[in-house]
This record gives sequence, C-alpha cells and structure tokens, in this order.
Amino acid sequence: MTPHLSRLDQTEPGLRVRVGRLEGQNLAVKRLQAMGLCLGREVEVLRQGNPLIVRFLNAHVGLSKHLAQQIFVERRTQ
Amino acid sequence: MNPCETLLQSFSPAQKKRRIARASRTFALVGNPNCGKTTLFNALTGLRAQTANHPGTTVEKRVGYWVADHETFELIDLPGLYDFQANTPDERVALEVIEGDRNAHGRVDGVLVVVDATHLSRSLFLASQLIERKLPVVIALTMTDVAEENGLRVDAKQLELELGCPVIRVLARNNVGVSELIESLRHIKEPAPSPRTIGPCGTCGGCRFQSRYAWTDSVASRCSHAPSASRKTPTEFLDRVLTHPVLGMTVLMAVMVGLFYLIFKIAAVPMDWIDAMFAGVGAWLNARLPESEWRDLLVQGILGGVGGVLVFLPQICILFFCLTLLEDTGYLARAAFAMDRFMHKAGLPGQAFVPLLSAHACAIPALMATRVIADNRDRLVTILITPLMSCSARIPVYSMLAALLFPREPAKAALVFTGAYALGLGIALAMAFAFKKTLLQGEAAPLLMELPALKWPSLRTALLTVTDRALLFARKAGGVILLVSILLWTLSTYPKCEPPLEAHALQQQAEAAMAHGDLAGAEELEARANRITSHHALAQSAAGRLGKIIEPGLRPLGFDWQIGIGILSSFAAREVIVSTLSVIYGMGEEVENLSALSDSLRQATRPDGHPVFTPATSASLLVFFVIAMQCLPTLAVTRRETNSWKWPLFQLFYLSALAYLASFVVYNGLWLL
Repeated sequence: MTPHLSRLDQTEPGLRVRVGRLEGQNLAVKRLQAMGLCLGREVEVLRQGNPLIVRFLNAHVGLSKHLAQQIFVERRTQ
Repeated sequence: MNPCETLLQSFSPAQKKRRIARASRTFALVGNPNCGKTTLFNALTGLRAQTANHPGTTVEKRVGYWVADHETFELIDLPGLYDFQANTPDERVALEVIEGDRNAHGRVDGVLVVVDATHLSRSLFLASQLIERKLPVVIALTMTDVAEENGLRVDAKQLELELGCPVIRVLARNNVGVSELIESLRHIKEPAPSPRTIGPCGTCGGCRFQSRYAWTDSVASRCSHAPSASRKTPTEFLDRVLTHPVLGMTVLMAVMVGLFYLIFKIAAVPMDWIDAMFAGVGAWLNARLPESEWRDLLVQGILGGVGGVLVFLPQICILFFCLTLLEDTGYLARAAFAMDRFMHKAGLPGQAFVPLLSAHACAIPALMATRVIADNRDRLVTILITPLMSCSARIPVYSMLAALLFPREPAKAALVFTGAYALGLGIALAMAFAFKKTLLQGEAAPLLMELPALKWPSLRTALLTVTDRALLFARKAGGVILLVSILLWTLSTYPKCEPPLEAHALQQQAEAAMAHGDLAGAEELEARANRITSHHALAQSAAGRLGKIIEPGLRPLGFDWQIGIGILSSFAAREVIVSTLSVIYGMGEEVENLSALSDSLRQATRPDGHPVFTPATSASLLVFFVIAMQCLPTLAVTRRETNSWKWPLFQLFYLSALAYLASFVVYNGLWLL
C-alpha cells in the first residue's frame, strides 16, 4: 500500500508527520536537508501561515510557504 | 597600488592585517549557527581578536590568538555552517581555510569543532564530514547545561569512542573545560580510524543527506539519554507570542521604538561630551599655538572634520550593543521572521530588516550587516537602498530645515521631521520593488532560518562586539574622513584674499568705539567685520568658485551657489552643511543654537532682495537631503561590500538623479501654489 503524501504547507499544526519526498534541487532544499529535514525525518508544524514554523530534530525552523510546498509528508496511520 | 586602493585599505583595517603575533599553531573553529561558537571564541581569545574579510570575498572571519606555555595559538572563527560542500560563499571560505589556499593561510594545524548537545545529530552531520577528511579534530561539546535542563544527558566518553577524536565538555560562559580544551589542542592528532564512521556516500547521489543523517541519528541515540516525553520548554509560550502575526509585530514595534529612544535620546548625553571635548581641545590649541595656517588646518580642518564624525560613536555603540544582545537572545531571528511577509512584498527577504533598522543610525554598519542575507541579488538590492534610510547625520539638517519651514511651530516641525523619515523609507521600498522587477530580477529567496531557542544574552559577547565595531569606526574616522576633512578645508580656504573694504571700515569703526570706551559696541562691530571677512573668503575660495560653477544646474531646484557649497561640503558628512551654511550666511563658525541659525537664514536675501530660504527652497533642500547620496564613506563601503566599482557608482548616480528630480518637482510644485 503506497502511503498517502500531502504537502507540508497543508499539514495541521501539532501533527507529527514524516518526510516522504522533496521536490526540486535548489539551494534552499539542499540547505533544508543539511539542517536535517531529509527523507524519513519526523517533523511537526508549529505554526501555519506564510512563513510557517516547523520543528524537527529539536530545532525550530522558519520557512516560507513556497519552500514548504516542495516538501511532501506522509501521515503515520498506526 | 593606486591612491584609491590605498584610501580603501586605510578604510578597511581588515585588509591591513596587522600580524598580531607569530602563531606557532593555527586552528579553525567550525560549528553550526547558534551553537555557542562565538561565546567559546571569546572565552579563548578575549580582546585579542580582529574581524577581517576573507581575501577576495565579503565573508567575514574573526582571527584571535592566545598564549599558553610560551606557545601561541591562532584561532580562525569561520561563519556558522550546516554543511561542507562549497555550495555557498561561506562554505567555500571554510573549505579554503581548512584545506589551505594560496591567498592567506597554509593548511590549518587542526579544527576545533563545536558540537551542540541540544542538536547532537545535526552537529555531527557537520563534524563527521571534517573527521572523514582525516583532519586533526578536537570536539568542544557545548550547551550541555541547557540539554540537562531539558532532561537530556549526553555521554562525552561514548561520543569520543564513536568519533575517534577527543570530546571536551565546555561551558564557555563559566569557564568550565576551557583549559582542558587548550591542553587537548596542544596534543591534537589525526582522528583514529574508526570503522564505525560511514564511508563517503558518493555512490548514492541524491540521498547524501539521508544516509549521513541515518548514521548521525544512530550515534546521537547511542550517546544521549533522551527524556521519555518531550517536555514543554518555558520559552515556548513567549515564542508563540513573538512569532504571532499580530502580537509579534506589536512587540517588534515596541522594540524598535525603544531602540530609537536609546539611539536618539540617551546617546545625546555622551555625544554632547564628545562635542564639548573637541571644542575644548580646539580652543586650547587656538590659545596655545601661534596663529598660522597650520593651526587653522589642525583646529578647523582636522579636529572639526574628525570630531564631527566621531560624535556619532555613542550611537553606533548603543546600536551594536542592543543588536548583539537582541541577536544573542534569539529575538532578531524572530523579528526577521515576523517582517518577512512585509519585506517580501517589496521583493526583499526578512533578513533585510536588521540592516535597514541599523541604517537609521548610520549606513556603514548597516551595509556590513547585509552579510546575513544569503542570496546575492537580495543583498545587492538591500545595499542599494540602504542610504535612503535617514541616518543620524541627517538629524541636524532636518532640524534646521524644519525650523526654517515652521518657525515656532514645534508640532508642525515634528511632522516635517517624521515626514522626512517616512519619505526615505517609502522611496527605499519602492526602489527595492523596482530593482527586483528590472535590474536584479527575481523573487526574494525563500525564507529559511533557524529560530534558535530563546535565552538570556551574554553581556560579555555584547561588550566585545561593541569594542570591535567602535574600533573599526574610529579607524575609519582616522583614515578616509581625515583625508576628506583636510581636502575640504583646503578647498574652502585657498586661494586666500584680502578682507573686503567694508570689513576694513567696520574694523576701524570698532577701534574708534573701543577708544571711546564703548566695549559692547566695539565687539558687535568687530563680530560683523569678521563675518563679512569669512563670507568673502569663502566666496573667493576654490569651493566658492566651484559653487558658482554648479549654480546654473542647481537653480531649477531653488538653490543658489552658497547652498551649492553646502551640498558639496556635505559629501564628507551630511551634517557639515549646517556649519557651512552658518559660515556662508554670516553666523560665524559657532552655531550656538539651531533657532538662532534658522533666524539668520530666514533673513538672508539674494542680491535682488528676495529671501533665499523661501518655503519652496527649504522643502526642496529637505527632499534633496532625504534622497541624495552625499556620503563618501558609504560609497567606499559599498565598493568593499560588492567588490566592484560598478555598484557604488550606480548607487551614486541613481540616488543623485532621483534627488534632483524629486527636489525639482517639490520646488516647482510649491512655487506654483
């Protein structure tokens, strides 16, 4: 069964999700991965909007909605 | 080396690179942003540090040293990094320093890597890349106190085993572990080959991040004992307020008002002291030295010019003190976050907010602060519009013109003042928008910034930064500003001429009055004679002739040749126009108070009997000063920050053209009314 992927900018705050796919290979996406938001990482949206705030690896990171649209996450079903 | 280069070099002590001491060992300091790197650097090197640009770039690095057991250690503080792949200018500089390059340093003797206990996995992502390069590495484990407060314990011994290099627990603020760290650096060696480090992941292309993070995650979980449930940190509520769309902006406004209050109100006290000190030294020199041209040059040219710039030192110190404190708490990142949505509309990134705020004190520190903007185009646009912020050198000019426009109506004068600030800001945002649509096309780079945990700031870090910046500014005043002051003084003094007949006659009347015992009358007459003499001397000087040459070009703006001299002289520093106008319109050198000056300016007339400072001329001059690029030091810093003459010249051209156009519209518009 393929997991259902949704965009990070459409994820409700407080929900813990996992990065399933990253789109694009621009510098910002690379930097985001170097900060630890790579495939498989658990991430939580703290505040939606533009820009939005996410938490991963115990760090709070602010990013613009445009960037969040390149990140696809899967919800944990179990 | 041509004179311009020499001028610039005297201006950027960075390049001048005074060899601090012959270092026997050189180390690079590497770590993520906000990992406690600066605090550790300061604990190790203290005041023995200099900020410098990496050769050929605008990436800043600090070099400091310390001596232990007759051995000198040099430490190069590199910009905060997440990755080590030469993707950004910061990363390229870090690579050059560590691998050795032809420009500045040989290969370093080792790397001191800061690993933040609260962000273990991410710190190891960077550290492991250095260990793999077989570089001698010592790891400073920081923030263990913060981690323990959150119930997270990191096992330094286990980490040492996993990584194959020494790991020293350091709490730089309390001086814990610093001497052990120095000892460890003395015996630094290549890391032990550890089978557990992952091999280079060149084979799996796109998943370089995933595979390395898989390894660092596993090391982190073996070395730390995490709390069973993540607890809410006490700052979480505060953080929610600061990043709230409405509340965050409210806090930001309050912080800005407070900062402006400190810069403009509190700084006035030490600024008066500096003013008084320079005046006192000038008077003392005048009394002690025999009358000569050298004395005039020393007192009026050098002391007056350099003093007029050094007077802004308190504002610059307060600005940097507050900004460093705010940055240290983690607030500035939240402020940039809150501003991002607004700045984005003008095509600017949120980070441009800090430089634009600083520019209200002085454009020079602001231009240096644009380094936080990662994207090159975004940074250029910010640099181009920075001079449009009303810096504090414009305050005396605004005060004078506001008093001219609305004498004895402080409320309206205050409105003029506010209007001038708003006009600068408005034009700046409009120009940023225009540049982003034409010259430097493209949207602002998407925001991506860590919001570091909120904490109490370190006073020591703030004081060290202030000292560093104050010295940089003072050296600048001793360099380029000194030269410009001497030049301007020479232009407005030579060629010399005889006092006019009118002054001669007044002088004789004064002597006659003195003979009759009319002391007050004699003084009055003598003062008038002096004013006429200095006015005449200025008109005949090279600056005066230059003013007359440019007069036809300035007449459409409502300016005469005398205002022209004021504008020319204000290239050294904008506020110079106030003292220049007071000389020209016969107040003498001493401007006792601004309202006396504006009274005398209001009475000034043209040869045809019309007043010089009509409301239209005053308003036109005000608009001109809001917009025009009248600051040589700013141009020199723009050249340094952009590494080319193209951008400072473009800046000069577009701001001058814009100022001319706006003044023309205002003058002729008001004239018609």
